[in-house]
Amino acid sequence: MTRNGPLALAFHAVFIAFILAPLIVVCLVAFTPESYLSVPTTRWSLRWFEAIWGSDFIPAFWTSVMVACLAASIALLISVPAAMATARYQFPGREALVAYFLSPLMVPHVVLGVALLRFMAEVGLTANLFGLVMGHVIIVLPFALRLVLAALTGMSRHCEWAAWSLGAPLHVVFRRITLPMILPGLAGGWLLAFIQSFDELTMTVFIASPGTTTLPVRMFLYITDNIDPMVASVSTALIVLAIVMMAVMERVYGLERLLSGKGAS
Amino acid sequence: MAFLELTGLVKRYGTTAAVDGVDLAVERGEFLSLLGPSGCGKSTTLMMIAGFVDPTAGRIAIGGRDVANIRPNNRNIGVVFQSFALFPHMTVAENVGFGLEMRGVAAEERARRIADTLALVRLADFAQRYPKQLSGGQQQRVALARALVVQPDLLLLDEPMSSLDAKLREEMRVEIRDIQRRVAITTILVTHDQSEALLMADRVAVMDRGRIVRIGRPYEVYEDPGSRFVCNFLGRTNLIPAAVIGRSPGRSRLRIGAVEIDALGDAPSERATLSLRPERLAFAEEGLPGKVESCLFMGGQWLYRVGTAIGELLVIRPNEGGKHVPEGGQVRVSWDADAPRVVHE
Repeated sequence: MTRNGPLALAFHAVFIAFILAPLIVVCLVAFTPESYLSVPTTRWSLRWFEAIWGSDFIPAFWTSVMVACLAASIALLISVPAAMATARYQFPGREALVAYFLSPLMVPHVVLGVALLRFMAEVGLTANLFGLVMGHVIIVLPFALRLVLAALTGMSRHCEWAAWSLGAPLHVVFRRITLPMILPGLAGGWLLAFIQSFDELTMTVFIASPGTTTLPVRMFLYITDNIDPMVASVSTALIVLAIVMMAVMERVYGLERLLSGKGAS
Repeated sequence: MAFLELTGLVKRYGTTAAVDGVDLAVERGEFLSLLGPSGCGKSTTLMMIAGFVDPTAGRIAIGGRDVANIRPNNRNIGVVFQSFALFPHMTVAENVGFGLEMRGVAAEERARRIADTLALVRLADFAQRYPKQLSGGQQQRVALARALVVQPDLLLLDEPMSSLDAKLREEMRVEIRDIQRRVAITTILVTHDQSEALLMADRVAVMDRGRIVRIGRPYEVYEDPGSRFVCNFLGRTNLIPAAVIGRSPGRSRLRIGAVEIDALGDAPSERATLSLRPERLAFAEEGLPGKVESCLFMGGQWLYRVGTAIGELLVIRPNEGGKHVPEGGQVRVSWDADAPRVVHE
């Protein structure tokens, strides 16, 4: 193993500091007692964490979790057959179809937001959780599809063939062989989709209504009206939640394996 | 009527023909090897027999029944893949039992047959392991057990040994051959390894560019390869261009420079190629004079390169206690009357 030289070490240190510094500042601000942003500070308080309970950040959080769960699950349900078709079969327009499925990556979310707002007003889906979830499905689908595709193309065709010739009809082959073998890819795809949906602000701002405000939208609206450490404390709570979830997944499964979509080895 | 019959089998991908008119008949209990270089269509042929690949044209009949409309799950064929294709999320016992489960065999009966088959491949103690906990040779025996336990009508082996190391490969060849004899199952082995095909099979079919170019018992095909391609592909040989100066039925008289040689086989035109297998050549009192240009020790054999009037000849002699002709030594090369063969281009 080659060791890093002093220059490389310094570079890595600066790089890590660059990523962490804003998060650390946010965390520090969250523990200040003043009702304005004061860093550095010498006094500490949990006042702004207590303020979260009973605020409308809590229902917004649950809306976000629900929307992300639904959007990720629906995206996965669409991804599996789409990936099976495009990974396993050659047909005219196959490349175009894959590009089409992945195209939401290319469209700016602002554009999607405006378009969906107009569309939903037209078909009467505004102020509706269903419309919001569908909008999120569009955005997270490419992430789910990419990982499911990677898992399927990384899996040997021969295992399916072996099961087939051992007497399993194709639907049994899929359930007993294909699905278990691409399960890590499915889990990774679902997780990435969940994170994307949970994070989404730009498009959601357009189509969320008072009844379906997600957490990022709630936070965005809050900081347009207020300058106090409330948002910092919410952010800190989210950071802690993310760290705990990552630690659990790393223990249970291995994050790298999950996010690279590699099949069972 | 043979047990397995392929008639005019063709598989085209776009305009290229991977398999270009294969006719083949395999008897019940026979072990046949499809041998050829990569891309010759041997694997595609096997995959069509298994039913994974649909033929473009032609007919496949198993036990006298056309299987065109029978899907792989109803063909009752056991397949062993090069990658073994074990199910990674199932134990050895579950892998082997999968085919029985699909056939609705009751749990008790299933357990008994799994145990019997694992014993047959000498893996009785490994039933509860997962595939990744096994060595390559063990994985390959699981794959074999999984294919055999359902008592298939036909066993297809697709390059089953090529991902094993050399020593293990030699052991597995003999072991698979023994198991095949014991359960007397009709078997087709696809391989690019000529020694594997010669050693294991009752008959060898050599394929080139989508067609079977020579088929017969291993020693027949080896001794009388017919074409230059088969001759080169099966073992080593000395190929010498010659002029045809005389013909009698089944024999030809050839001239190379000032040397005249009688060879087995009919020469198609005025020019022909002479094949002399290096292990059929010997050093004797009488024969073609030559000078040893190099002499390599190969353990069981000595490999000589001898310069003669008909060109440089490879000669392989068994090692008989270290005696050998040194480099630069003068020798006379002789051969039996049935050693020289005429081969076609």
